[in-house]
Amino acid sequence: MENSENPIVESTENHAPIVQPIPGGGILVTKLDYIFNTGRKNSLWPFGFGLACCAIEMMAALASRFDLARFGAEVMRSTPRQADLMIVAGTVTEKMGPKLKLLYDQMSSPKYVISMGSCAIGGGPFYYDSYTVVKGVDRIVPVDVHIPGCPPRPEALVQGIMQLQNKIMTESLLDRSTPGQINTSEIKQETEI
Amino acid sequence: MKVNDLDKFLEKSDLGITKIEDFKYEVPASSIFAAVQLLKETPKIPCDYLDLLSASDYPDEESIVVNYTLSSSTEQDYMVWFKVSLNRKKPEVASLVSLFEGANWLEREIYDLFGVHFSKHPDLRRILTPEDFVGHGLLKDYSRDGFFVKKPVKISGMKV
Repeated sequence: MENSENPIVESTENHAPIVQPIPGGGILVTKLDYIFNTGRKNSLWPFGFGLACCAIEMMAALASRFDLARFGAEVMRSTPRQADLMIVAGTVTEKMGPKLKLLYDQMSSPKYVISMGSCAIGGGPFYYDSYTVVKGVDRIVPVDVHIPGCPPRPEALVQGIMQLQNKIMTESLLDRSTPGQINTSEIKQETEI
Repeated sequence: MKVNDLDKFLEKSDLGITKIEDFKYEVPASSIFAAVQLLKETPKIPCDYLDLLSASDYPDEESIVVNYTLSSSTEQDYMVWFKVSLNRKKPEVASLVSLFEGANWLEREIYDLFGVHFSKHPDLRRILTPEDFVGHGLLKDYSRDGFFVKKPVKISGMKV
């Protein structure tokens, strides 16, 4: 991120963890990042995108034996408007691709995608000699965590969500480069015009 | 109706039906509609249900074979197969929708994946693949650059 206008960035670069500027001026303690991220990671609301047998494992992960509620990700939403994590569980066909992209675009940011299972990662058993299966959901939407397996065990999904939680903890309010998130500099330019 | 009676009955019908094995017949494309209608409307034969419609591609023999399976909704284990061989370059056969409403989507599926044109079908559109899909996926010579990956390994004895 370019901060040539703001002198605070250069002066505090050596001890950045304590004091950092935010876009538009002002100083923010990084503990605020910690508060935001902790809140986000412990209340991921998944948008269940069950397309094939991986959805069964996803359901098992939500049920009492594996209990995804321990990680705050038990509130399965049926609409993208209320969700911030899309778990693509299953085979994405070419006909489903545009719909998946539309539903991803309808989610409000910050939003994350987990690609669950071989099919969603790279076509899986449908890689060869298949005429309609999309060879990986990352050709359509940006993916944060890949979970291999055919289908992955519920433990794998739990670990995938834990990995995503670790990733969320590394985010900062300064970092707005995540796809789908608002780029404040672009908005500024538009309002000036 | 037993096997021998059915054979004699279909021979008499003068539709060019030839027997392959028990309850399995080869029918010329021009008379498949009449043959299915005959089975459906003869009270002695309990074939009142179109069980299955499938197809397979034989590029060496320049043919696409469409299989019709008719069974009974009341009697167990009664099933008659019809095989229709079509010209691979211009596959065309009569639609059965006026006899069986359920043939609608089955014929659309075969049109989608094999390109078989069912004449007098009320709504012959693609059903499984997207509307802008080019080609027919289950034909043996199907290919598509950048999307369709042919399996590089040939298993010995496998006819590709």
